[in-house]
Amino acid sequence: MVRLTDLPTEYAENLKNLPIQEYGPTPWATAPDLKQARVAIISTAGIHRANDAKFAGGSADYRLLPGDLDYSELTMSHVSVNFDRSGYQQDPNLIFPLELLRQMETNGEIGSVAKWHYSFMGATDPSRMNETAPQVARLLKEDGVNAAIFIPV
Amino acid sequence: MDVLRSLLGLFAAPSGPIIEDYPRDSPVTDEADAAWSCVLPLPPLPSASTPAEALKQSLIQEVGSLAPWYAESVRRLKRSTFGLSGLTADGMPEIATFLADIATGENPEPPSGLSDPMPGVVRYLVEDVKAYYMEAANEQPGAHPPGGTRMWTWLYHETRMGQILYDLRDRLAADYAERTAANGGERPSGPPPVNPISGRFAERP
Repeated sequence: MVRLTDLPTEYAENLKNLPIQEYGPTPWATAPDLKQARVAIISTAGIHRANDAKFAGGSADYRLLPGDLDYSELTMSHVSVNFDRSGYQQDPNLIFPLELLRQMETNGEIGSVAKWHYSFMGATDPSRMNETAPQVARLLKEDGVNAAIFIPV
Repeated sequence: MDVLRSLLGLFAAPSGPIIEDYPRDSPVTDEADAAWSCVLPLPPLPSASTPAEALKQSLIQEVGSLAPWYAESVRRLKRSTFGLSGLTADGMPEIATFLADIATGENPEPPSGLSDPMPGVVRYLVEDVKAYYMEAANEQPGAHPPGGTRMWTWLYHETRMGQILYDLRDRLAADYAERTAANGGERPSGPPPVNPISGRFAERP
């Protein structure tokens, strides 16, 4: 995640002044050994497969991204004039490191890559995801995921 | 890969919460990034019957000059972020003409095959235009591709398309203000106007 000091001043100030949703303390969970971990990615980059419905502004729903996704299928419908896509255009691993995870699986560095990964719209107020986030948690559990990477974009 | 390994390495922490800063920065400095320039010079404004027509002709030349680099990017990466509008990059001359016509005050027929209705689809057309330009620029030879700020400066301030995007923004904003006034000062129905440029690049060069 980018450092505030690396952002243009106006963007950094805007981020610092955004209200933060309070969820109370979360108990610490011991993570599995990486070689036993089944890893999923949860992204807020507004990405999805080209045939999926585009994200609407402020929507709290999510899109499914399969573990065998080819990056050529990927599109990003989070449209904002302030959204810098240059890194994503050069290498989608920057926002959705699925290829790298698959390499780590092949190398035996992690146990496996999840069957499904999840994408949300990053401009949405997190409090609006109070219904969809628990759904995703249940789906991750059904998939046997025991390690998730959240990538805020 | 090293970033991902470092991230996953945090799972071994015995207690938390923890916040760790990844210790290494991009090797490309702001100064080196600022030195990037597009290899292809802007085509000169051709003589035409009107300034708007000259700009449009120059824009089409510009789009054409970037075509080999965009195609090379697709060949190398086997992917493109172009396509939100429902069109393919083969339609770039038509898309550029369409946006230029709107920007200069005309009401052209939209290209066929668009994924969404007008006027909302203009935002997706603009994203596709940006994808085309930026992916072409990424592919040009040089020590490294430009970072976000340098890329935006090039696109908005140094290309004919940038000029069109400023004109487009002003035309759509003026049209919306007119419709608002006609609606007794109330916001007209439908989506707010598309704003292709704001924030740091809100001002024309």
